[in-house]
Amino acid sequence: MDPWNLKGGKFTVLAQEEIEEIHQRALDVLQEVGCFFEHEEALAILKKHGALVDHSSRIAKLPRNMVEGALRLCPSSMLLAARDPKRDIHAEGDRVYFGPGTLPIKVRDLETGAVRMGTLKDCEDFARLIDALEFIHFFKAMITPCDVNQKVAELYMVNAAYNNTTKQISSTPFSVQGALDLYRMGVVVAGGEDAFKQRPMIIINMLAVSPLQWGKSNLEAIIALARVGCPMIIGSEPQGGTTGPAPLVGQVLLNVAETLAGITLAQLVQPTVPVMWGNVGSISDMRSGLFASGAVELGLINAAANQMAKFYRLPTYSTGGMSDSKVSDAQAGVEKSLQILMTALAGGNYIHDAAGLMESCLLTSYEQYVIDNEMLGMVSRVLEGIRVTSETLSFDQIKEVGPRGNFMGLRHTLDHVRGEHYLPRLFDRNTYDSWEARGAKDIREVARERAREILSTHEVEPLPGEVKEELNALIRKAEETYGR
Amino acid sequence: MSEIIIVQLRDAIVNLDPDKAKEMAHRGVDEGFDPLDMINEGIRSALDRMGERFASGDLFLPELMLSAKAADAAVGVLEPELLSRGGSAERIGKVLLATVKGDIHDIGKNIVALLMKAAGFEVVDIGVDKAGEEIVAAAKENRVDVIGLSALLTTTMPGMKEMMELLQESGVRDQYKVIVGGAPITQEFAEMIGADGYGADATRAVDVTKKLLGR
Repeated sequence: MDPWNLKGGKFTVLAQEEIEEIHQRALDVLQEVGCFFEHEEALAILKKHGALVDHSSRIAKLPRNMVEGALRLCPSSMLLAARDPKRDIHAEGDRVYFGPGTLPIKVRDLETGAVRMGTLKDCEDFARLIDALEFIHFFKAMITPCDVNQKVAELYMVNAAYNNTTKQISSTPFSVQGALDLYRMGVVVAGGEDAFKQRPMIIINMLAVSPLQWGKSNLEAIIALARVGCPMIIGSEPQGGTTGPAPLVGQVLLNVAETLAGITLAQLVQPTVPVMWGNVGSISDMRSGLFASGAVELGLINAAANQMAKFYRLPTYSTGGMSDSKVSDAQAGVEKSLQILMTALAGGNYIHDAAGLMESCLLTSYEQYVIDNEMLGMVSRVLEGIRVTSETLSFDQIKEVGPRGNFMGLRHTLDHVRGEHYLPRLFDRNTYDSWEARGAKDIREVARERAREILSTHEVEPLPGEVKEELNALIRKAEETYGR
Repeated sequence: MSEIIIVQLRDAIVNLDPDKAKEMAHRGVDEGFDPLDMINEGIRSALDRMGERFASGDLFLPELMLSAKAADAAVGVLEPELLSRGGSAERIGKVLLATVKGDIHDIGKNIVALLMKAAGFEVVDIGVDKAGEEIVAAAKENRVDVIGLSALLTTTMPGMKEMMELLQESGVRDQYKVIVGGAPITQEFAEMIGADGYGADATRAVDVTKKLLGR
């Protein structure tokens, strides 16, 4: 199995006519209801291209032809370059890649087991762990370093990532300046603006605030990043029942309208700027209003959103593999597996939140990363499916072995076992007695041992000295400019 | 007879029926009942029951919201009556709610507002993206007992600390209880900035506020 050549697209939840209906209704939402844009320049750009803008309410109504015209400009494939080109992401079609999830603030300490606030050291360690875990393809902003200047915290985190993994990097900006500085960091690692255009070394995400609201700093960042041609994730995160309709399709419709609004603006600013379709929606638990990150509905919503994005021929950014559990327990295993299976089978190109996340995206742990890597390995096997050829049908071997024989001694068995069977690295398949003889270890303990082993032995090719220095200088300058 | 109208008013709220609630309020007034009794024994007791059921996980948010709307419909009839007689409904406290500067996420704050109202607090919700100065000014202007601050983003959390400092500097810190909440907020953070309370979720925000006001 080649973890760098995974394909989904086998799981669908919407019929073709339903996809077209959602598309038409989304255009109706944008034309009849409009969207709130908290930024004068964004409103002016939209108005210039034919939107009906009410400056007092800041609501722009976008005509259908304007949105459809913008959609036609979006590239349908996207290269996201990694320091190691073998680890590049080719987001297109049904290709599937997995990455970690967005910005929890708390970590379960690997040594003490206690929950504490995330630090810069965690960013470095997690990046190195991700570098070593074979089924995690990219680094997405995955822990908030709470011990650095919060005004530039995302820069510290991404710097830690560039230094500690050669996998592809993605981040959420904390401000407009942060978005531009993240882009500048990508330019430094790429080796200049022209080199970045060939091999973009970062993708930055911007989300609407549901329902139908694009905030000031995200709009400013979309405009600024579109102008420099930086790849962007543009999407939204409605929560069914609170910030989105309760029916799942209503929530998908809202996501489509919000995402189209953001993408339209980006294409008006810079035609053909690479954008990725974003849906990270789930539901609220209506007994409390809390974000249900582990909800099984998230898988269905993301599968539907992937179908919409494929209808528009856009690369997709999706979610799957989260849990609301506080510990790495059965709840975590069930919630994560069900979600990730649906999103991956649906063919999400750039699936984040696929590892490490717990408790409404607030908590992460080292052991959970290692466990989730195993889960992603198993899901990767599912994506491979069943290959039917005259060789794999094994008629000749069944004939050769005949009744009452066995297949262990065949070259054919040896040739195919590696490709056909997923071999767990972590999960235990021994008998009770042999498991007991090996210390009767709970999977969490095994995962912690594996994490410690990786962190004490895994080495990452360092950044060239001058790149390292330039990144540090960029952060120093940002701190001087924006203060502490 | 009096009990029947109060029971029916209570039922109208529990059954999420604003028209019926309004009708019962009118009937009560027409039949000469004390509006304050109707508010306390009809409306408040219905909302208390809804609040308890929500806290124990038996109700969905929309049920709570729609019962509050039904209650508002009845209060709309009873309050003018009460005022015209020189009375006023007893409130257990007045709470100002805001999402701090740089943050436009408001669903958490809105859920807290709903639960606070259902628990009998008067709520002044000044919205999102509010700087410390605006919050302090609104607290003074509205003479509130409690200031509740919300943030979803880790980057906007310092806005809470800044407001605490502003309260100190303007010498009015002891006039308000301050509670904080939102996804990234923790008890440690609340203590670090010197807030009086922290609500891990909306239900607990209400409990903490009641305790702070000695209720």
